[in-house]
Amino acid sequence: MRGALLETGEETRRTINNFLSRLLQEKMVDAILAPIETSTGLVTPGFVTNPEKTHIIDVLAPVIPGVAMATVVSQITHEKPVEKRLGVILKPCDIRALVELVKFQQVNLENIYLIGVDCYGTYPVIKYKEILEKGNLPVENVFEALNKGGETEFRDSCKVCLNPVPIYSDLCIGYIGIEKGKLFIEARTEKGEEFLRKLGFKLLELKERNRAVAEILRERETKREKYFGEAEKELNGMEGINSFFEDCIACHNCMEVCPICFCKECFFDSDRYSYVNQNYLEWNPLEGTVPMLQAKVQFHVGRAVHMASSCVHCGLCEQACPQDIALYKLFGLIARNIQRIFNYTPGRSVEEKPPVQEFKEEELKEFIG
Amino acid sequence: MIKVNERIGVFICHCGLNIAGTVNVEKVAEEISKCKGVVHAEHYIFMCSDPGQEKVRQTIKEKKLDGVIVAACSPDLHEHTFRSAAASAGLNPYRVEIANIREWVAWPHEGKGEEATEKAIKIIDAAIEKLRDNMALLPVEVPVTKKVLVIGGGIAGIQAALDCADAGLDVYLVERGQSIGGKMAQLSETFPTLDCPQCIETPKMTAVAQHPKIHLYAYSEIEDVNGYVGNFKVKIKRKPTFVDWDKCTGCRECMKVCPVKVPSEYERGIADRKAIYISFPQAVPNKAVIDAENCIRMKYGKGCGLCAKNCPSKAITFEGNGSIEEVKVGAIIVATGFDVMGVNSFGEYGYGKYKDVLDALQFERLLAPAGPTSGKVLRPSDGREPKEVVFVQCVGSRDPDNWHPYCSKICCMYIAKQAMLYKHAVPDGQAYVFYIDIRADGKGYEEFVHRAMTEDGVIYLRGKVGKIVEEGDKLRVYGVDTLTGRNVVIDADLVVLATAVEPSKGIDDLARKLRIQLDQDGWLSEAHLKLRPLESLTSGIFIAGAAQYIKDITDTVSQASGAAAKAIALLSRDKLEKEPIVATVDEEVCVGCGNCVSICTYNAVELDPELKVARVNEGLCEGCGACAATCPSGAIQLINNTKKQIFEMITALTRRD
Amino acid sequence: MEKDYFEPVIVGFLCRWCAAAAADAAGTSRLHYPPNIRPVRVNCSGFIDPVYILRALLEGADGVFVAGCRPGDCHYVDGNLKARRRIAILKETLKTLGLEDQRVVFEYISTSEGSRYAELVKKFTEKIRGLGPSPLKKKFLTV
Repeated sequence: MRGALLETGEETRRTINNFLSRLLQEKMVDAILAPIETSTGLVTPGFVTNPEKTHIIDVLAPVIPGVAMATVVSQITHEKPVEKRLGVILKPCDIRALVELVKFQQVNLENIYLIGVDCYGTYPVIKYKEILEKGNLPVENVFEALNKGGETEFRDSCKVCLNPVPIYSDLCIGYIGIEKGKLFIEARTEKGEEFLRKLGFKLLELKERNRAVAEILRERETKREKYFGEAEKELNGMEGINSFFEDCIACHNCMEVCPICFCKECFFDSDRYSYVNQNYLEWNPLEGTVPMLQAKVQFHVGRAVHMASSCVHCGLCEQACPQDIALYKLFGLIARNIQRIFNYTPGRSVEEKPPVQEFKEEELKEFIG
Repeated sequence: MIKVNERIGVFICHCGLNIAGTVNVEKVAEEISKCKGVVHAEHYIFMCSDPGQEKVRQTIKEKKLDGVIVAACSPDLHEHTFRSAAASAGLNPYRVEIANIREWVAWPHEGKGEEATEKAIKIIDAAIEKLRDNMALLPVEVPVTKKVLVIGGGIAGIQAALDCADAGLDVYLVERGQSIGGKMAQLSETFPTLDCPQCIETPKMTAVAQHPKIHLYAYSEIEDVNGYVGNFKVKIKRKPTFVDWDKCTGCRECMKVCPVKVPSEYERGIADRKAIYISFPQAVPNKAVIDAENCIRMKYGKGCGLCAKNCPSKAITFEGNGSIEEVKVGAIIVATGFDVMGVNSFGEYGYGKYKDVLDALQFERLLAPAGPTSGKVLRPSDGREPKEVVFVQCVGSRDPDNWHPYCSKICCMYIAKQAMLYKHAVPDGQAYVFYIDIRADGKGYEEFVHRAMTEDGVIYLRGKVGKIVEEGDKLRVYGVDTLTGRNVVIDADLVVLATAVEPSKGIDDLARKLRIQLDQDGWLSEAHLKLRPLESLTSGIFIAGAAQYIKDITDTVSQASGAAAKAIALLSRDKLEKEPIVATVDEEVCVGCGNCVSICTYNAVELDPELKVARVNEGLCEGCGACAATCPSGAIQLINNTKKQIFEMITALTRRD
Repeated sequence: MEKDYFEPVIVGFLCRWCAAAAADAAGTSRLHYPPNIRPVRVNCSGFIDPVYILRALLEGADGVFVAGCRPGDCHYVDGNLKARRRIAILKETLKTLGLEDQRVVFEYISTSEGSRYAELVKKFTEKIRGLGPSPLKKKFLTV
C-alpha cells in the first residue's frame, strides 16, 4: 500500500488535524465526523465543517465512550444517503462494524469517505478519566506501550484484538510500525490515493510497517487463545453461566451499545417474545429456591444466537455493563467459535454475505444427526 | 395468551378402537375441559363420520364456538374435512386445528395407555395454545394459466396430452428423445391381447403431431421450473439437432449415406443406427437429429458432410446451440416412465459378456416384425434359430440383498408373452421359464399365462438360476427346481433375462427442479398412496404412468387419463384459491436488514426502497417461513405460526404435572 | 407425580412434508417408540428459529428433536439447508457454553422413512435418558 509519510515531531494531534483541515479547505469533503474533545477531556462523536475548527478533533484518543462510530453512521445514513461528502474517522473495529451494517442495509456508503486510524488499544472510560486526572495524556501512554510492548490496562477485547490496523477504508492514519515523530497516511483505495495526490504528497511504500503489525498479531494470537481458553473454563456449564449472570440487572445496555444489534426494538424486549416463565411456579426446586435466571440466560444466549456470527469483537458490551460483568468473555468466545465454523470474518469485505443471509449445499455435515 | 370470552370446543375421536383402545379419551376430555377458554369437550366414536361432523357443526352453532380442536388422525387426512365442516357452520376454517393423537400417539404407544393419555393431553393443549392466536383467514386468490405441461412422451404422456388437449387446454409435451412413443413403441406385441403396439400406439402419436392444441417439444428437456399452482413458469431447453426441422422432410436420404454406425437405442443395442438418425420408421416428429458425439463432421469440425450433400431439402446445418423457451402453465403432469436395468450388472448370468444372453427388451426387438431380424428369432452370435430358450424372471427384482426389494410387476406377464411368441415363431423349439412366483393379477392375465403353459407348452420351473456358463455354442444354465428339490441344468441356445425395472434416469434431477419428492426406490412420491395416487405433494403437479411405480400399459393409460382429468378439473376454474398461510411484515418493527430478502427462495420478499421495510408478495410466497426464522427482530412472521404461538406451544408441551 | 427413574421431556419439531409424514407412517405401521417425544408440526425445518429450541430447553425440555427433508427433497427447495445453518449456530453456542449441545439433534428424514423415524426417536430418547436431566433446569428441579 502506498501512502504519505508525515513529520510530526511532538505534535502528532496537530499534524493530523492540519491534514483534516486541508481535506476541508481543498473541498475534498464537506464535513468530517470524528471524535471531538469534550469539556471534561473525553471524546464524543461530532461534525466539523470549518477547517479552522479541527483542533477540537482527537482521532487518537484511546477510548470509545458511548456507542461505536459505526452506529452513529448508521443513524445518519439508514433512511437515505447523506447528500454532502462526509469524511468519517473510524477505529478498526468501527470499520468492521460499519462493513457488517452495510450488509444489513443499515449503512449507505454513498458520499462517505472512510478514514481509518490505527488503534493499539483503548482504555475503559473510567480508566481513561483516571489517566486524565493524573494530568497525563492517555495517547502518550499508548505510544509508550507500543514502543516498550504491552499495556495491561486496555480493555480486555483490545488486549486480544487482532485488528490494530483498519482492514477496509479509503485512507488510513497509521502509527504502528512507524518511527517515532512520524505518521503514515496510507491510501487504501483509488479515491484515497487521489486525495493524497491532490494534497501534493509524495507517495511511497513502507514494508517495515507490515512486519511490525505481524509481530503484534503473533503476540496477540497467543494472548487471545489463552484468554478464550480461560473463558471456556469459566463459562463451562449451567453453574458457570449462573454465577456469570447472577448480578445481571437485565438493563440490556450490552444490546443498546452493540453495533450489530441494529433492530429498532430488540426481539427479546418485545411483546412478540414476552417471556413469562409460568413453568417456574409448577416446578419443584431441589434446593427449595429458584433464582429467576432463565429469562436472563435466554436474553443473553438468544442475543448471541442473533448477532454472534457478525460480532466484530469491539467489546463495547462489556464496557457498557453497569455491573462490570466481563461480557466480552462470553460474547467474544461464542462469536469466535461460530465465525470459525463458517470461516467468516466480519468486516473483511462488503461483498461477503453474513452467515445468516445464506447457506451452502455442501457444509456443516457434522451438525446432522 | 388467554383472551377474554374465548369459546373453544374440543372434539376427541375414538377412531373406533384405534385411538380409544390406547388413549383414555374420557380422561382426555375431562382434563382438556379444564383448560381456559374451553367451553366444550367431548369424545365420539368416529368424528369424521357424518354424525361426527354434524356434532361439530351443531356445537359451533349452539355454543357459539369461536375455535375448534379436533383430536384425531393426521391433519394430512382430515384437516380439510373438519375445516369444511366448521366453515359450513359459519366458523372460519383457520379457526380449526387438528391434534394428531392417532399416528403420533395411540398407534406408536399401544400398550402404554397412561403415557399415551398424558401425551395426547399435552398435544391437544399445545394445539389449543396455537388456536388462541389463529387469525380467521380468507384464501388468497390467484389467476390461472389454462395450459398444461406434460413431461415425457411415452404412452402415459401421449394419453395425458391428448386428453388435456381434447378438453381445450393448450399442452406443451416435452420429450427428451428424438421421438415420442416411449418403451411401448419398442415392444413386439402386448399382453394379454397380442395387439401390435405399432397398430395401437402409432395413431395416438400421429394425433399428437396433428393436434392444434398440442405443442410438441421433442429432443428437449426441462431446464428450470418456477412459480406455483396455476402459475408455473417453465424453461424448456431444445437440444441442438444440427438439422433445420422446418426444412427436414423425414425422407431419410441422409441416413443412407452416413458412414458412422452407432448401437441403436431404439433397437436396444442389438442393431445399429447412423450418426444422423430418426429413431424408428413411425417416429413423431419425423425429423432427423445428428448425434454430435459420433458424427465425424461434428467431432472434427470438418470432413465428411455426406448427409448434407445428399439432403434434398438442404436442411442439415451442423450448427446451433439449441434454444431455451419459457412457457407459462397452470398444471404439470410428470410422465417420465421407467428404464430397464443396465448392462453389466449381472456377471453371474454372463449378461453383457455372452452375446446370446439378452435382456427382455432386447428380445422384444428380436420378436418384433419390424425389428432387425424382421421378427425371425435368430441368435445374435451366429444368426442360428435357437431351439432351447431359457427365460429367467426376477433378475434384480425382489432381491433386497443385492438389488431392488420391489417386484417389477410386469415381468411375469411379458415373459409369458415372449415365451408364447417364441413358440409361435419356432414351433419345434422349447421355452423354459425360471420364476419365483407368478403374479398374473389383471383382466385376462391368469388365463394368458395358463395358455402359455398348456397350449404353447412352455415349461415353468419354480426356482432361481445360479449361473450361466458358455459351453461351446451352448449356454449352460445351472438352476434349481424348488418344487422337486432338484438341480436343473439346461443347455440353452439363448437366454432372456427379465431385468428389474427402475425409475427413469435423471428423475432425481427433474424432481428437484419440480420440488417434488421421490420415495426410497426413486419413484415419484404420490400425495397419498391410496387416496391421492395421481398427485404429487406439490399442488398443481400430477403424476402419470410408471414414474410413480411400475405399471403395465392398461394401468398406465388409465392413470394418465386420471391425471389429465385432475389437471382439467384444476384448470376449469378462473381463479385458484391459494393457502393464505403466508409471511407478513410488521412495518413498525421491521428494520429493513434484508435477511429475509436474501434467504427467500421464491423472491417473494423485497425491500421497499422508500420506507426501508420488507414487503411480501402473497402470490409468490409459499409459506415456508424461512424468513421468519432469519429475522432478528421478529418483524416478518408466518400467519398463524407466529413466534408467540410457537412459544406458547412449547410452554404447553413442556408443562410438568 | 414422582417417579423413581428419569423420564425425559423431548420437544420435537417436524417438517410437515417429510418428517411429520414419516412420523405418520411410523404410527400407521404400528412401530413402537418411547412416548417422551412431543412433536410440533411445522411447515418446514427452515421455519425453526433457534430461539424456539433455546426456549424449549429453558422451559424444561431435556432434548429437542428437529427433523426435515433430506437434502434435495425439501418441499421448499432448500429450507432444510437453511435450517442446518441455524441449528449449527445454536449447537455451537450451546457447546461453547458447555450446555450439552448433543441434547439438540437435527435429522434428515424422508417421507418414506417411518421406521427410521421410530428408530431415531428411540435412540435419541435413550441417549437423553442416559444424559439425565438438562443442565438448564437440573439445578432447580427434583426429578
